[in-house]
Amino acid sequence: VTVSIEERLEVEQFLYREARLADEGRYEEWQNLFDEETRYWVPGGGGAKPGEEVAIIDDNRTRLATRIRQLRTGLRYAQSPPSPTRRLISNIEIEYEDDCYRVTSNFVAYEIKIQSTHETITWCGQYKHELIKKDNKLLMRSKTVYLVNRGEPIPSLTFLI
Amino acid sequence: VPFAAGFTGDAADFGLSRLRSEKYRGFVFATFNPEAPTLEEYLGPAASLIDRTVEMSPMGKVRLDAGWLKHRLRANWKMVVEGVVDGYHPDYVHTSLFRTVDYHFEAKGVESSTAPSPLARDWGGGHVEIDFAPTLKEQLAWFNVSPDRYPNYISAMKAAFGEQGAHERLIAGPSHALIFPNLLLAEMNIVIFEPIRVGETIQWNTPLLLDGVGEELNERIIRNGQAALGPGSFIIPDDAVMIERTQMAIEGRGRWIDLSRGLNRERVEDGIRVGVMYDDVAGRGFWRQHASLMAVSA
Repeated sequence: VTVSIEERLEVEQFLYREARLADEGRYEEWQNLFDEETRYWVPGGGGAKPGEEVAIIDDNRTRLATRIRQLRTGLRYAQSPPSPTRRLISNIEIEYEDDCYRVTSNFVAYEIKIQSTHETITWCGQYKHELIKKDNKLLMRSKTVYLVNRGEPIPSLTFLI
Repeated sequence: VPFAAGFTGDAADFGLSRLRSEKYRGFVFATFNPEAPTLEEYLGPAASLIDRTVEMSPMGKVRLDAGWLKHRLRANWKMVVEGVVDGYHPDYVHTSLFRTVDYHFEAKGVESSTAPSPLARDWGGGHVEIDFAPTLKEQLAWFNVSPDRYPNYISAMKAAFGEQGAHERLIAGPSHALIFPNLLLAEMNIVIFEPIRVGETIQWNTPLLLDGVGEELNERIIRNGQAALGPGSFIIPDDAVMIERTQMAIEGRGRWIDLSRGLNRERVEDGIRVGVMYDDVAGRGFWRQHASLMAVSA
């Protein structure tokens, strides 16, 4: 089902806000964008079914909470100091079915590894968001990140992508 | 050879090199070196490290078909090896994880004289290990679950190895060992270090799935592997940042890294050097072998 202009604006604003909270390391506010049912998934190269193939990241609610707590200790050395990042989101397509917005988009993110090599890393890929509405607010049921280079060797991925 | 009239050499001189390979319990080892010893000689007593891992399966068989992650590290491969055979760093480098979750690695009472310590062993030939077994008391503690979590697995192990044999294996868990030079048996994962250039290494990892056990157990192995290893995990990225910083430091100033820790208290048992995990026994074992090989080829 296609969506109205108003719905499209609301979904786009959600994606931009989610990206900004991630880029600014506002960990809890970002985490609170997820619904009870949570899936933060960055598949590896095989692209096989979750659970049968090792993923770069495959967080349910508990594991995502662990990830955020680890970052917040200040002793997660891979993010100490946190990498400066900024990302662009484009090519947003939205479908609505079964009370859920299924949103695909493309992204490019730049990360500077200031805690080690000071390299600038380019991350690029496709986001798939499943968004639901609760109390008139959009929430993520899942966020999937298909990196274009997921089958290649990649550096540490320790900021919120 | 196209347009062969212009080439007077012997095509046979330009063929692909032939690889020598041998297998041990499903692991294939290969070399281009015709002078290399047989696999049995090469592994020596360290073959038991592979036995220990493979015998976590009641069928004595493991599978590597859950896919590989490839992690790019800006450091020399030997720096990466030093990290994984060093038992001194986890308390510091992985503090953030120990403060976040309950994990069996946590060093409680390390420096007290009575508490048992994990051990570091140098098996010779550059094969080295960190052994947590001395500190583990319950079956499956190494897997971070209670002993009654996988009853079918435990009964399958008993059927395969007998009551005592199963008990010992389920307490000790799999190996954490480096098979020289670049294969790491990382408990329920396999890791390979691929040197790319002086300052770059690709670390490959895959979960080590067991044959003859329920899918539930293998799924947990995959999930644990995701938590520990790979670019987005909770552990290795913190090692990576340390290794990369150290690489930058030695490239800048070329000072020696001190590996003398525990030289005063390591001992030799049946030809195997043993010390506590917090000493550099394993690191020295790796470098001793590296130095002897480099001296021969120099």
